[in-house]
Amino acid sequence: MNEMRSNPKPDLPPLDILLRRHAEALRRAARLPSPESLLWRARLRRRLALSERGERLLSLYDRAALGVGVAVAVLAAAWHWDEVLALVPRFESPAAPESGVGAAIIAGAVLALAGLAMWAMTIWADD
Amino acid sequence: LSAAVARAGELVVEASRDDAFTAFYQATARDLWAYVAGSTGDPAVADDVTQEAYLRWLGAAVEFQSDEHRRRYLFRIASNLMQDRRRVAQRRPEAQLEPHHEPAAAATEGPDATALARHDVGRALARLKPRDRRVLWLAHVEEASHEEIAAMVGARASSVRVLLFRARRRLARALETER
Repeated sequence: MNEMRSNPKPDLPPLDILLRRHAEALRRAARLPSPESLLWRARLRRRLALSERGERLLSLYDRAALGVGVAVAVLAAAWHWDEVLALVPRFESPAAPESGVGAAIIAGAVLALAGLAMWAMTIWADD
Repeated sequence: LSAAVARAGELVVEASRDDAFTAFYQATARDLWAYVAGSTGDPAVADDVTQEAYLRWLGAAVEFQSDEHRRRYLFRIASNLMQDRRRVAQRRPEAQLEPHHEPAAAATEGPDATALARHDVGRALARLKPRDRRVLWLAHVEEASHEEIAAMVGARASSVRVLLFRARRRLARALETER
């Protein structure tokens, strides 16, 4: 540390002494918030971060609903194609489901649409 | 009942954590504020950075090995915040932060007043590059090791000696022209 203490200008006090004096003057001039207010803000920030995480999780559930809905609708439609066609008014009117599979298809489609809507709303809200 | 006991336990832990933080804050806050004010030359920036550094420190999930580690970590956060502010200011030239060095006024009282009036370190520091100011402060005021300085200013440990040498030379020149 010797080379740090020396000074190229002999008539000046060593730089580290000047810097420490300056630091002491600044320490005295410091304007500080109370530790209590910092702790309070830190807790508030933590709470906000938690609620943000909760919101993100919610949008995760929206996506899960969308995925499950699409999967139910696609699987049911693939296994019972005839009944799907029967749901379309052009092929058979009125379009009433004749079995539980038809109801499952409609439920899946509704769930998928709801999930899609919620997801779209989340994306819109994020923007 | 067990929930109430658990909650009481949490409150005790929280209270002792608060006490520990208050003690740490009282031991470091003035030094940290002085570091930021000395490095940026702007008391308003020092206010903001000091507060934000403590908030981030409180939110950090770090296992501290010692009080020194705790302190260095805090100064590192403050250093990063200063660098971030500088980057933002460089991207937005209209928001350029110019140091204005008010703190010298605080030195007009006390036994050091004459020396500080003769050698206005604040004004001389303002003429150095931000990194030079931080390096000098960390080495001479905080007495940080070269490795610690390197980590705080984003340089290699091997180049800190050279950085320090050049910063000292620039400060000496600036002080000479200030007189």
